[in-house]
Amino acid sequence: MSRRPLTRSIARPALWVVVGVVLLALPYTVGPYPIHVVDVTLVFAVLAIGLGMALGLAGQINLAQIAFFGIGAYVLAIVTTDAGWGFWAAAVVSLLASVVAGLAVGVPALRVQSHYLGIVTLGLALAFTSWVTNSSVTQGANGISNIPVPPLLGVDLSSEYLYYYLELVVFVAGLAFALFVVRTRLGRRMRAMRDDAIAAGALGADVRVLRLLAFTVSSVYGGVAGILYAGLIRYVSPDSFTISTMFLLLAMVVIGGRQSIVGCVLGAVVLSLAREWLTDFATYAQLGYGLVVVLAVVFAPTGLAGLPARLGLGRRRDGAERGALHDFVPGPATAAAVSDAGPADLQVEGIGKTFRGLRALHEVRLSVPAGAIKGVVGPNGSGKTTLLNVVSGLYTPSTGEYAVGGVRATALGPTALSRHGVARTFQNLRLFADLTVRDNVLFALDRSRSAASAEYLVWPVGVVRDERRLRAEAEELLAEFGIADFADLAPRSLPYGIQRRVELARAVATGPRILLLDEPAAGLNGQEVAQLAQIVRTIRDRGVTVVLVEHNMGLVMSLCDEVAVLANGSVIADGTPEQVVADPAVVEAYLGDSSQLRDLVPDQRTIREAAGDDAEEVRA
Amino acid sequence: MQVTLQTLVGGLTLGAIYALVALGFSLVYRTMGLVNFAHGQVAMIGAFTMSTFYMTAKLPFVLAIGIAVVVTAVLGLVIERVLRPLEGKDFDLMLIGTIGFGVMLEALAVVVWGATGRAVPSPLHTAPLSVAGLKIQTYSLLVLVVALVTTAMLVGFLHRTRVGAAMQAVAMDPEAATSVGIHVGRSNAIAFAIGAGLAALAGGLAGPMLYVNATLGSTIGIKGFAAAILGGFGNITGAIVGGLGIGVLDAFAAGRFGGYSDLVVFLLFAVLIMVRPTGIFGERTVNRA
Repeated sequence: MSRRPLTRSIARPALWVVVGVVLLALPYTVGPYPIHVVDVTLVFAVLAIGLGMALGLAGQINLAQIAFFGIGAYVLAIVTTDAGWGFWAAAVVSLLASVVAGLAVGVPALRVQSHYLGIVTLGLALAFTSWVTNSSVTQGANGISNIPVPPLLGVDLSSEYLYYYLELVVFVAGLAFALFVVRTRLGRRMRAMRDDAIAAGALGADVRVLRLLAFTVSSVYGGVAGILYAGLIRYVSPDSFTISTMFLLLAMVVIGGRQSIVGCVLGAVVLSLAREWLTDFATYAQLGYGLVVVLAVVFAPTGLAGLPARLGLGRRRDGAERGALHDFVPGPATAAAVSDAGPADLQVEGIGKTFRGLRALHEVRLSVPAGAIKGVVGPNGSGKTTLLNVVSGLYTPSTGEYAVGGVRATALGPTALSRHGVARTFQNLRLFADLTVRDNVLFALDRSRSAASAEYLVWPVGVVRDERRLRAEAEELLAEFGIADFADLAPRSLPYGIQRRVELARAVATGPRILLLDEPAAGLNGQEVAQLAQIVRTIRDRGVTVVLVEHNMGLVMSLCDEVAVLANGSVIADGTPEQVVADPAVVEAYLGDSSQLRDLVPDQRTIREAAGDDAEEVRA
Repeated sequence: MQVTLQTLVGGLTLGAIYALVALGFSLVYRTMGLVNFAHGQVAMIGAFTMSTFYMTAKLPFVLAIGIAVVVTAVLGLVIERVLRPLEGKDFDLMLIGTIGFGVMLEALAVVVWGATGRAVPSPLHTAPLSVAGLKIQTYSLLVLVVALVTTAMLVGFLHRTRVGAAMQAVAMDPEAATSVGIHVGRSNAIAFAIGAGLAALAGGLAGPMLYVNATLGSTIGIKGFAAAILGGFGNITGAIVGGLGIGVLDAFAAGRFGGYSDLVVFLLFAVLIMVRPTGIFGERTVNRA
């Protein structure tokens, strides 16, 4: 857990107590119309939490939240009035209907993202509007009235004062569950996916399951809000579920702060009250909130929730208190992280990869023995990164096969490969930018399946226990990698060398049997390169095969047991560093001039010297 | 058969409007990577502006549309300027920002022109042409011809002029374009102004066909956007084919399913986008590795 000053640890609960008392006492202080406004506000707050979970937490543009809301309300109305079911039985049906709609709207998200997803979800929301205004089941523009009052142990919920307490209970439960998700593994995965879906997938998160889950969670909140709304107003019509209302809801989440659940609630409260207050000037109110949305995205993208931080209040997240990058000190956490299954070999058999006619790889054969450090070098554009992308599952090869640890892996895909023990780093650093360093590592340490998130409903205690265990492991690993000082900082605020170290720690945290490093020394200074060499050797000695794509020939020659040379997408040489350097084909392809390659031999010594005694110690 | 062909003609006319909207979307997207969700509202402002100058000021139709194009081009420049800090940074925020602009423009239209809207008379008074038993409104022909000529002019502009070539370069690689001395900011602004102008042309031409009111923007905006995606986002030819395709789909869905046409069109669109996310002519993959 992060260390907080004492004043904060007292201030937080005190604030919650005050808010709690105000919420409980609220009905005693307001008249019949204001309580109606408050009731509607709570409905929007629940709805906004759901949108916040999809949009802010998981980064899924969801403009169909209004349809989930509408389906919840309409199905309840139809089942209670037409079929004559009781309110709560109908509520179960309508919640199920919302979830089905959520899954259906989530399916396009498996294929498209961003603005494509925006237009598809908006289109589906319009499809819903089209259905309710035309269908006889929904009684068209007239809407459905006479929805029964929800019965509850003799409490008369037709009183909007008492209904408030029902809503309050649901709202608090919804808020608590949302915050629980945000602060544990599912929320962390969703945020990671939002920041970088490719890296999240390559490190073992099933992005497709997560996207569907995001829409499902969002639709549950939408459905619940719809049920509450139908029980409150007891009348539904298409006017309540228009695209304008969707945009109002979006404005709530953006103005409140989409990446903060509390911010979403805040936005919902502020805009609901503002809308009510300006009800006689609806057009000007619309003009106003449109303007505020524009101003918010340009000047305050974190919304109301982010204002304290932007104004310099609260915890400082960068600058002065930054610590130092410490040496790598391998310990129990590093040992525990490395998979028990031992190092895996990699056999690449005739892999080819073509991009629209451009041949990036051709008949690549490569053998990496278990427990070896294998270098892959070659001129720019020779296909090194493409090869890494193929064997980490990001690209499907056009031809050929490859096997990891004796298992054919060609069709596995990045997530399954990660579970199989393949970990990688990226040439351009793909750290999750809005997650802290600790969360980056926690994300990788967490090997549970996203599909097993039902645990959140069935046995939340298990989630909490896992979280405690993971956090303890993460602290140790961060310390061993010498980056504990930066645990609470966002990676982008850190110098490049430290970010490289964080990425390496994250890759090791996944528990790999084979580690693929894409230019890990790029941008590092001499001392950092020596540290890198030591880390790579240690990890290999603990039982991990390493594939190293690198331009720093000194590092490759001193570190690798074997080196393969790629040129124009084919392997032109493969053997020990000494053999490869002497190979005329390599000299020809690489430089057309052998003099520079020969210079690498003294360089090798320099690296060993720079790495110093550490390297020898580790080997021994 | 007769009915089918008649529906086809109606769909193509409406499709020409969607195509012009899609053209503006695509031009802005390919140049600066911005998806302007307020594009439809810009078209709606264009339609209202045209109606004011055409109906109230009694100016000729062509002149009224010309004024509308200029007005919305300026509007486009304003939107681009305000959102410029986000360009190339946070795609989703920019998208939400344009939604904010759309909301504002819709409210603004109600403030300026009122909530009721207006019917714009057709500028052509000739009788419908009869071709093989089909009745074709002369105005429909006009719209189709204008859409095709505009596309040809846009393609010519992009390929044959220095400014157009510069915009193409920015579309391909902004950094490389900068290094050879192209002013990326100016290029983006021009693209946005032309895109907004195209929206006004679409809105203005739609005036006599559709009822002009504040929600016209969201109607033709979302269909135009769908057309752009269907054709292949950022592809000029794709915008035309996608626009005509959505128009025809729309017309047949309206004939076959009545009020449910939106439901059918958008469900079909969702399915198409899942089968082929890059659209008909799109080549760029959606998720870049």
